[in-house]
Amino acid sequence: MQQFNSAASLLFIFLLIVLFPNISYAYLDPGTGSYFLQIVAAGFFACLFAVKLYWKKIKTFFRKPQKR
Amino acid sequence: MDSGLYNSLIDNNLLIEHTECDISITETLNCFKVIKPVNVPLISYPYEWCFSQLKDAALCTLRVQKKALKFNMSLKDCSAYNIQFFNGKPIFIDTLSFERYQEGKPWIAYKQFCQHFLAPLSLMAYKDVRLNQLLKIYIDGLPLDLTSELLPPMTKIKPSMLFHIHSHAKVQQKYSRAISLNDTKQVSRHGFAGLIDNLESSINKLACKRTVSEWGDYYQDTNYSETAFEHKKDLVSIFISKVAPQNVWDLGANIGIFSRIASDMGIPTISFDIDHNSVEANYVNSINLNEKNLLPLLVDINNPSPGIGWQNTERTSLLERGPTDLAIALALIHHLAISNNLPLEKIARFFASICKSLIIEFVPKEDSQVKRLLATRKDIFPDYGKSEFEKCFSLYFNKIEANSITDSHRSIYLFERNK
Repeated sequence: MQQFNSAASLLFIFLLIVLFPNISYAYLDPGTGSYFLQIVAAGFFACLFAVKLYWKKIKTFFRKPQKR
Repeated sequence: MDSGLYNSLIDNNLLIEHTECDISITETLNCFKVIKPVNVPLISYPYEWCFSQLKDAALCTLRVQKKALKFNMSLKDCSAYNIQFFNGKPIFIDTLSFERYQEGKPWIAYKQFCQHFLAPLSLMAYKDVRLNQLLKIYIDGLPLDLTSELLPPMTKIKPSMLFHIHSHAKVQQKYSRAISLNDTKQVSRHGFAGLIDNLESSINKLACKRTVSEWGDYYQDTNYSETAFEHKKDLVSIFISKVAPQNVWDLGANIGIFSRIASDMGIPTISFDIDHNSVEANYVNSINLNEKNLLPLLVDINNPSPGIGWQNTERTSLLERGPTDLAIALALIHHLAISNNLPLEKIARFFASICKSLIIEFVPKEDSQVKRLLATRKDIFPDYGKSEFEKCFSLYFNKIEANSITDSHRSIYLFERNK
């Protein structure tokens, strides 16, 4: 009887997890696809941004040896 | 507020100011605070904006997000309805949209930004400028898969379009439940900043697809002599001064030559026109001149913006946002009566519903432009004439003054609505 009860509660919890989506406190539905895209490209955008920020420094670094 | 972000945004004219109110004014339940933002005189919606207005709205949103990140905050939504035009420029109005930035978490508003801004702008840039009207149907921005299908194939070789639209559309379908929202350390701060920066560059690069329209060079094609044109401007100016309105709607305003008579007097004026090229030229001009009292909007008077959204009241119809103190309808009536087959009485009734005073130009059948309209169709307008016009308008208005324009068949009337 006890085994039946624990099996039933396990099944109930399993169904609960499977049937109901994760509780989200997000204000709007971001779409998990959009999250995936950002995760995939985060590193690339970070590099691109860093290059852009330091572009002038990189330019002067490469120019100095030529001027001598 | 405490972080300093609010003051920084206000100083840069990026956010609408607000004052805090006594919490007792609200009769409802528990609330944390009551705030009262500065009033925006006329609400307008993204489907009423020309390309450059939507582009500037997008850039304003990104500027707000960039600033927020500096203060460790982030926008939790990027709806185009969070922007309004105030003193001639776009301003962010959703004061409650900010949340604390959690390093590592992806940007929740990325998809919404792409749907509300990047999608319609790219369609207007690469396909057809009229596609912004899809925003009327899709109240939460254009679906990315639809945008991807509509964009020409050559956009797939443009990196920003390929990433933010085409790939973005594909991953929406593929990955529905793969990511747990509780995982942190997925998108670094630099990655986040890089994404925002890339979106900003992408938007900046977009330019409106220029179309040839009959209205683009309107003022090269009118039938006014120089004397007639100057006389018309003088009459309009005198009539506006007589009414001394608090606000003005100029219908069929084209590039806003007559709207500027009112706005230069310091009167908040809306310039409505159906033609995108005209509204675009008007807006670009107003930005260059740093005008604060003029707002050009893209509206078809024969089919003005309806109420949309929940119960058709979430975004109000254009007519419900009136009435205005003074409406100006120059060189318009023949387009309503003849091109759109509207009886004069119906036109008069329409104007009575949208304004308290009216400056209107009557264009008779003898005028060459009306002859042009009737050249390719049967004249089924036996009553269209000055006496019928005056009779129909007298049902709803008192005639204050009427003047014929020198060197022209046309006349200008100043009406005041019957009480």
